[in-house]
Amino acid sequence: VRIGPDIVAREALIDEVAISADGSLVAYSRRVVVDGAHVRDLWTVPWSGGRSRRLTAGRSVDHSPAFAPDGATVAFLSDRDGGVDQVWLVAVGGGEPRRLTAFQGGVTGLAWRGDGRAVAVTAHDREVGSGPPLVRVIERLDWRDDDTFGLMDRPTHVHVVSLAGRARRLTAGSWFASAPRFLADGRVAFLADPDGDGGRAPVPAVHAVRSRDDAPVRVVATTGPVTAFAVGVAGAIVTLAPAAPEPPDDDPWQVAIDGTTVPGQEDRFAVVLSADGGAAVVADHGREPVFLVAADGLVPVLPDAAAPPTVDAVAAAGTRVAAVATFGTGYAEVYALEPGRVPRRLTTHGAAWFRRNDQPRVSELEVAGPAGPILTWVLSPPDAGDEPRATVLAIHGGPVWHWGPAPELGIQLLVQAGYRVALPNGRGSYGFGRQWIAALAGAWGDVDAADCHAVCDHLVGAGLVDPARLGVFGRSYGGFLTNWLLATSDRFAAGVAEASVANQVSCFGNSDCGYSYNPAAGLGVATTPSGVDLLWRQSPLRHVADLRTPLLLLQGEADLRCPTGDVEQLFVALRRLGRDVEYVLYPEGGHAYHREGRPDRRADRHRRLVGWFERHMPV
Amino acid sequence: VTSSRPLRPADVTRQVALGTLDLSPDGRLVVYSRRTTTRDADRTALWLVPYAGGRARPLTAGTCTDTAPRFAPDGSRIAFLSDRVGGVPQLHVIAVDGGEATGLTAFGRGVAGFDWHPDGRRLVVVAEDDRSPWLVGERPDGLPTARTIARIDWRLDGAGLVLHPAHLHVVPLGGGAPRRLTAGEWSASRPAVSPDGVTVAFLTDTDPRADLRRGQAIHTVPIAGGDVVEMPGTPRPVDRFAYEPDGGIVALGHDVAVLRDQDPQRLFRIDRDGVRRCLTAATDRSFGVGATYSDLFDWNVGMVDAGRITQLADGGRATPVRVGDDGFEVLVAAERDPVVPAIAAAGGRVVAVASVDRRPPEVVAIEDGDVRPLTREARWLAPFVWPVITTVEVAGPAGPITTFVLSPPGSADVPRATILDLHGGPTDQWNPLPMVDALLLVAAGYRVAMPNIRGSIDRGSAWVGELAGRWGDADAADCHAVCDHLVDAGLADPARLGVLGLSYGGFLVNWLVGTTDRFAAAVSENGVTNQVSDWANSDCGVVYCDAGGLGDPTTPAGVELLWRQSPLRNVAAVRTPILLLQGEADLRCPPADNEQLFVALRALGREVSYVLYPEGTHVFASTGRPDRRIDRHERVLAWFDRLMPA
Repeated sequence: VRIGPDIVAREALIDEVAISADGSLVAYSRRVVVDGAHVRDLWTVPWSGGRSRRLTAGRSVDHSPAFAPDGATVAFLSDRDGGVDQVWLVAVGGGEPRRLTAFQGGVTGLAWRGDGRAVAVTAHDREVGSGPPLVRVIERLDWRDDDTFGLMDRPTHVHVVSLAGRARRLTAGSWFASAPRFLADGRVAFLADPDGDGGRAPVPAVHAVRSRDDAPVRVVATTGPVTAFAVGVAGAIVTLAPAAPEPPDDDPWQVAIDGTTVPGQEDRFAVVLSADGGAAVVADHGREPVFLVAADGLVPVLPDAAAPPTVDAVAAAGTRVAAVATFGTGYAEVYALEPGRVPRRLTTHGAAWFRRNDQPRVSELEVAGPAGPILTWVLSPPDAGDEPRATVLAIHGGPVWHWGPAPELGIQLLVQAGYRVALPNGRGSYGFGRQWIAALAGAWGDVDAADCHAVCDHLVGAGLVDPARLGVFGRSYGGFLTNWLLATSDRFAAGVAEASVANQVSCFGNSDCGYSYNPAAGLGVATTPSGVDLLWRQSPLRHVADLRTPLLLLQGEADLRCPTGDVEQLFVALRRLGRDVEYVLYPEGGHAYHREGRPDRRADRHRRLVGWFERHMPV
Repeated sequence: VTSSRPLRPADVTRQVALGTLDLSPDGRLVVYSRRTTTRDADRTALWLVPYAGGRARPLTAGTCTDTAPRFAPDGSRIAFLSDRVGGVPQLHVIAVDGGEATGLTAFGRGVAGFDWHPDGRRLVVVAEDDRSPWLVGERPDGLPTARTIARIDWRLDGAGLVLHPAHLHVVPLGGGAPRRLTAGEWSASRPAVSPDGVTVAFLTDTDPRADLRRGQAIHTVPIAGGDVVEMPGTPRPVDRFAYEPDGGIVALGHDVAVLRDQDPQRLFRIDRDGVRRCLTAATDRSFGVGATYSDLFDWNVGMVDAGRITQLADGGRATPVRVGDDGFEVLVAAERDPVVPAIAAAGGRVVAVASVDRRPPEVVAIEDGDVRPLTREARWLAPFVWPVITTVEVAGPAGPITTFVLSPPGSADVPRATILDLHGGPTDQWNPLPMVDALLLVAAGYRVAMPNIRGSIDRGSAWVGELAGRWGDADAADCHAVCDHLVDAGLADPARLGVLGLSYGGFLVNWLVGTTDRFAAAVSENGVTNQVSDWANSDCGVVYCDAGGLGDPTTPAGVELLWRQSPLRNVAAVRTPILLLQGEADLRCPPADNEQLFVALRALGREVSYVLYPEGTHVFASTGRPDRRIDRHERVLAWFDRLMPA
């Protein structure tokens, strides 16, 4: 069976997981489509195996499950009453959920106290208004964030809520707290940069307070922006952060305990840290292996022989780990992991929709590139042999990210439609050492394009690709590179760039993080002539007159990371030049709309992505 | 007589702003539109006043926006547009001698314009189609699945997204379903029915690449239905036109392949057989365009004229003229400083919404070279101090720069804190009539200088052409000449010199602060900072950058030219505290441009405040929600007051 874009209506997506303190029970949320909208419900499954049991069943978005210390209750966030997230409690043994909090602005994070008699939350200070405000006065650089649009109007702060529902505020001010966690001494720790922007990007660190009368104090020495933290065994503070306050792209995010980097990470990127601090995922060589976190070093959880893992979430209780993972290609399920044991699949949600289709063939190639081997996954339709086929080169975002063999749904649909898809980890990708990333700094469009050509040359030379039917697709940084490749080469028959980059000079001001990311990635600053030169040199728009390949530009209208104001520059220029270009806007779409957007929009996006290649380079 | 007091921002809720008007066929009755303001909203009503004189009286309730009044051919009724039902404008008619208005249409997306048929029994309207060929998954109660954009004219400041073609329909006066006249993936505007009632003329550009040029031309379609054809002899682009009694047409527009800013707009006569003649070729001035700037008029109404009776842009004035086959006649002498955005004529009589003698606007009869006020709508200004307005001809590098200087009454010729106020366009001009902004600044004690620098349309095409491709060069030099003059004349305190501007004026503010430290404070509103990106980000960037000679980023030379004229280039040199005001819904000079300047200045640690007004379009300062206009005025005054107190 082959599936198409309409599969979105039957999709079941799992991307978060929790485990009870005794390691006996796993909770996860599952996203499905009901009446054209995404909803999420919570499920539990015994870690030792057994039937999945539905814990909640609303037409709401239930997420972020957290077991109470005694394991009898799960706290979670849900918009089921009033449309904004509140903390709800549900007994694992049965019964209906009850609402614990009533923050008008909504709750953004939660954690249990050790005695199970209270939770700490972060919540927005003000409610979401019914209409826009009279005026927005902007005096900081961090007034917008693609992940949390509107946040600048509404700081988030820490409160403690008793199980009777009594809330006590612990912090206040024009800054943002996240990831609340109780410390052993009863204080509440959280991530924040209370000192404000000072013209730079925020550098969140772990702070703690006991009461509202306290000023937040730093509880662990970190230098780089902390992106996740946990209170681990014996009260250890586990953090995930790069080293530098304004980290360059090659500065690896690493797990530290009480400020000391855990040995065994080398120069690899730790990409996931569990909320309990017990497990982490460290990307390496196109794989996402899971480790137990211990002060004396990381302990591998997966056997070497396992198919290449892609891991979206982990939770740990002692040596028992639950993970949302894909082994090889396909779609994610929940697995039980333990050092030295073969992963056990705990759920079968994917079987109901994704596994019905014919699974693609995966091959792993090491392409000889100008600076070293380029690990490239090649996905082929199950019926494909080693003949020259219509092929799409798909480029990942980031650029500091990587491809495993289980890419997003749209790319899997390209394979279902009969295309071979090549997923290269060219320079800039993590998992291959700092040098592989550092090579791209300030050299966008140079070393990365060279690597792409090397991969294409190799595949054509190996007789796997029909050179007349070679296409390119990428989103975000991958969209940048798509635009760049089309403007500097005529080898491609069609291109699709999604949420991409056209003009780095304007993006310095237009992207929510341009002012900090662009200098960190060596792209330049828009405040000096040499910076502008550097930004412009790395802008696809510079070469627009040479772009003659049919190009589809997909764009979320509410994307703050790679905004419409940038992409439309390429569209307008190509239209002016009379080229074959289409610009498709998805209302309300943020940077990740292809995954988070309204289901009809996701299906339309998949349809257009596949349809563009079918029109210009049929299988 | 009550003692006068200074005008304050909240007083904008007292404003009565006159918009458009019409004159009954017998010339005896005038209908005009009148905008009033509360803190929550503007409302526009239609009022009647006899030509002979007498009390004005309300015709419509004006609970929403009633506008575009047109007398029926027999004068018994007035047709107009009103958004009183459903929030979008629909065609209504009301009897002149009493009774309530009746709605004639129920187009889902409203009516954009109309004309009476000479038989008085039907009207031709232009209305957007209900369905868009470019929207996917359109739904009545929410946002669509996707918008597919294939042309660059998918948005227009003030209108928002324009993804529904607008077409002509015939609407019977007696009720009944409208009959569609045109269809297709293009839009019609400004319908006019021929005197014999057989033909409907309108403006459109049906070319598949019409989005890349300014090429609207007169087309016709039989009122009985049939093919759309381009009218032989039509100029291009046409701004507006009118039938003459013999079935010929007079049209305001141009006759050029690629429009340039310095091309003056002219009046053409096109005979029924397609023979075209330019009636104003001998005059190096624009007719019927961009001649009035003050928001003491209702900015929701564009310029309105009566065919050959139209406006001449000259010396800051918008002078009413009657254009003949050989030359034109001035209807109000230049010495009276006429500023006339709306003119109507019938039965040999001419009426107008007009300001003369640098006084606030009224509805007037124009008779024998003089004006006779028919209304007393400027009463709302009576309690407030009116500025002293003088005209200074400053010697500039390329010629005299006409500068209107506004001062608080009784202020001697002493150096005062002075604001250089820069108009938008740049192909526009300051009138001797101030904006509300300037009134408030003068009331707060500032002197305000409003110069018509190079690029302004007040002294002909060469003066405009001086600026082409030279933004930040010719214009900045002129600004310095004006400031030097005011300082040397002892009128401006050089330590308390500020600068303010909207749109192109905002560009120039951004440019000046990056190239000089002479200003103590700056306010830039909906300006321009990066011409390279704005070429695409502005709704009209591609077409406008051609007209203004700014450049085109599809070539390296074009990028260089655009960047050379970009204030962002000089951002590191900005030391002047700057307030950036920005309408969030501005599609002309969008936030994507202005925020580049904010981010750069903030990253450099300079004193900058970026203030966003939700829902604000390009001219929200004059047409936005009143509470936002008040907030904006208060911030402008506070910015100058803190940094350079009067």
